[in-house]
Amino acid sequence: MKQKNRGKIVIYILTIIVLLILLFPFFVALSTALKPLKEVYTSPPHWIPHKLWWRNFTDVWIKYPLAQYFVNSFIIASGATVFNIILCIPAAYAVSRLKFYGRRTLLFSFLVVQMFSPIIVVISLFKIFAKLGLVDTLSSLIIVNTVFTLAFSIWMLNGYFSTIPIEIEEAALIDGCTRLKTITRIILPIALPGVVTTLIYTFITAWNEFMFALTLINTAAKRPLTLGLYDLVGRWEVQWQYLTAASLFAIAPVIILFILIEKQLVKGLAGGAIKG
Amino acid sequence: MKVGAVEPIEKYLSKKLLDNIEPGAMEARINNILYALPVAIGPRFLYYRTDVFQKYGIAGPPDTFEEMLADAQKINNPPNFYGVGMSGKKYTELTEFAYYLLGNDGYFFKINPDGSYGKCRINDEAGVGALTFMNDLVNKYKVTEPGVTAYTRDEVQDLFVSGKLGIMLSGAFTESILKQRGATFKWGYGLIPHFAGKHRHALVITDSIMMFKASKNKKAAAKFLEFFYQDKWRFEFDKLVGFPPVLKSVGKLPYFQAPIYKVMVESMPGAKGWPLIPEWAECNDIIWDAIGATFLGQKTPKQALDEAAAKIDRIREE
Amino acid sequence: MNKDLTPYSKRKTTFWSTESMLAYLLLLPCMAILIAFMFYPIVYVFLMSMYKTNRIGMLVRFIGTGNFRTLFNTREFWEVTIRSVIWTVLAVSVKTLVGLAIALLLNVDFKGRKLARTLVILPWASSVPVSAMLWQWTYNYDFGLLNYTLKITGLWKNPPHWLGYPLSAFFANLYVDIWIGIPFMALVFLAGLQSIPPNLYEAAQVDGTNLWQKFYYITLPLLKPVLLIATLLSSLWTFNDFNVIYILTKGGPVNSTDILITFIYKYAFTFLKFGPASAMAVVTFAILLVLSLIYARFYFKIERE
Repeated sequence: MKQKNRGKIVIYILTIIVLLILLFPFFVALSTALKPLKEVYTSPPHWIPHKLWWRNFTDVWIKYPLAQYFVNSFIIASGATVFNIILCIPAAYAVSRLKFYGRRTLLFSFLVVQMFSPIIVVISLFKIFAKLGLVDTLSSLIIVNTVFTLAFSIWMLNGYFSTIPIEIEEAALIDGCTRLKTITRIILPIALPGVVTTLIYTFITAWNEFMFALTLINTAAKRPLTLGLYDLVGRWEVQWQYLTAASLFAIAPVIILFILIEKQLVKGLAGGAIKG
Repeated sequence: MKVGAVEPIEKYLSKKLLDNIEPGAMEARINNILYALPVAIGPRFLYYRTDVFQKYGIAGPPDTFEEMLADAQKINNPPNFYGVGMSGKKYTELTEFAYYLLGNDGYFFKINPDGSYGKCRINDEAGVGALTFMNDLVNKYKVTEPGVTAYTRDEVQDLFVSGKLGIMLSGAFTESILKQRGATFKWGYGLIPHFAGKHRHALVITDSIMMFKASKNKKAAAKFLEFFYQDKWRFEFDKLVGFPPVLKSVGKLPYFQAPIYKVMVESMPGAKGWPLIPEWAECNDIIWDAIGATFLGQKTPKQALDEAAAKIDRIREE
Repeated sequence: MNKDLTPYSKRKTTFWSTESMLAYLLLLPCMAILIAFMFYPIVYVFLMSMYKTNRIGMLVRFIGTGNFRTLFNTREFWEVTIRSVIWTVLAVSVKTLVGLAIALLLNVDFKGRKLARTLVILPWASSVPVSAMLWQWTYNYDFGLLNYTLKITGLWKNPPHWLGYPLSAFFANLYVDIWIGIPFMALVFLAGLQSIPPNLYEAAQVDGTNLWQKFYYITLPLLKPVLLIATLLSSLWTFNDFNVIYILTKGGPVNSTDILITFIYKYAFTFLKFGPASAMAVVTFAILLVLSLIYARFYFKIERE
């Protein structure tokens, strides 16, 4: 009995240490966001604000065009998610259910595409968008985010679809269902958790995207959150109490969404590697 | 300008307007053709702690860099207080190096008779002298904050404003930050120093307004410029931005006789701007690397600048 | 209407079967977009790597391997490439080890485990660019709370100017990348651990094996497929981790923290040298392709087991 308790205490201590280390920058952000300007720039700094300066959380919306950044991020992320899901459900169905020439190569190429990572392509994408007259538009970012989450989404959805037993579908087909009906009436409802996970993951990925926004957006009013906040750091003087407050607002929605899908996401990522 | 998008502006504007602009601010003159008018000029000058100087019995701001070093050594008090601020982290402006380079009668490029830029000359005697002096401040005399390669100009500013530096070379914006953060110490202004025996050349940064060749109604655009440069609008703009006036006439207004503006106006004659070449971003990057490498002790000033100059000449030839 | 009822694995694949046609139809919109915005740009990058390009990315003159030859002769290129490899190896190793350790920790049933699990996700869940900015502030020598905390807890009497010196900046960047990647590893391994049937451990307990032996002979082998996938994905992501380094140090000081991806970006968008940048991008692709093929080999070998 004693040993079990001692073991438990060790576990608790370890967990707390791990959490303290992992969450350190968030504590820093909170501490800074609750200080007034003068307190932020004291050296050496201190953890507990002399007085909790909650005003920063409201002032930041006035001081910076935070709302505009939020709106932009939202437009880009939802646009990308919608297009993504329209394109990838049929594609994932085809890959998961149908046998066709080149299926294996296609699957492999989706993995390969992960490797390309946007960077390699951003160089030519910039040119393409310039030709299309889409540089410095939100549309360009919607397209880019759709494209670069497609491969991943198809891979994930393929995994989720493949866990549905083929017999259910075959039974429906015997009964006279069209393929389309099987997709919408049978596959999607059962794979719903997986689909929702992929949807949300696409949204999160687009929300967090930075490099393309950096390359393609010039106008201040069009900046999404990631670029907007980054730009504020480069100014003549950075007001970290506002920036940390803004950062906390910026990451809150994604954290919430992420927690919702986390279990399913991990299942999908580890895919066939974990049986069950 | 090579891409041919910008319209030379001179012929659209009245002589009265052109003469009213401070000559040092007319940065956008390339190969002697004027392409743009200055909207805001940011002259650079020196801030110093009058209270600390008083404590150590130093009379006023230093005139030469050598004096600045002597002053810095007196007031240097690590680890809480350092003599002079120095930025060593790559930044969009080369300001720190420019102050010392220009103050040593140096410049980035040789200027050809026709006004175009020739070979890179940062590695000539003036350039190497400037960088050596900067490096000595950091590594030999240690009168700057340590770890200069971690500080951009803004971060040096943060140090000065929170009271840890005695001297800092900066622009008008530092003033507003000092006020904003309620700095309780006393500070004063001086001109950017020069090296003994050399001329004083301050640095001036201008933002300009230009007219595109594609502009359909050039006459109307010109009219707008004449309007925009009327005294009363320029006054409002300059008051708002905190920058000194671009127009000589506005410069004479009483508002701009405050000490800080006096210093700024005084610093204008002989002021020089950045070289206007398309490869400047890359040159900037190369020179910063040379400076950083010197501060980190990876190269000697001469080595670093020689390599940088060679690189710059190479990319300009392409 | 497809009434094909033969068992899935036994169906024959011909190019022109109705099933294939349906598949292609379903894939068409998706492939069209991918071809336009992914494959074509990739091809264009390959092209640019073999041409001399001008400042706005237009192909000027075919020079074949010219860009590559100049590249392989530039010392910085090799420094950056080697650094990218070291960066990836170090980061992925630490992430894997720490992730595994945390997974083992969280696999134990204790009160508050669910909360801990949710909190562990945070570094991964929050936006990388935003986190990087928060870290930039944390690393600040004068006003940042990291050095302050290290000093007053006595953990590190004289912490360095993190982002100011080459070595410390490299590790500062590395730490943030690891910090962001740990949750993914921990969660994937946890899922893997939880799928190991407990009766295996019970049987081992009866046999009198100790903790370490249980880990080495039961846990590790069963985790192999998960380990492989996780490290492969992580390697791909880490090698191309642009955001952390760009935001924290932009590759500085004096290019000492540049890895291939930030270096490529600099060449392309600061210097406007699209030819050499594309050549480097091709090299990156080659490296990652080789890496994936090696992993694929291991993975399919395991799948067959």
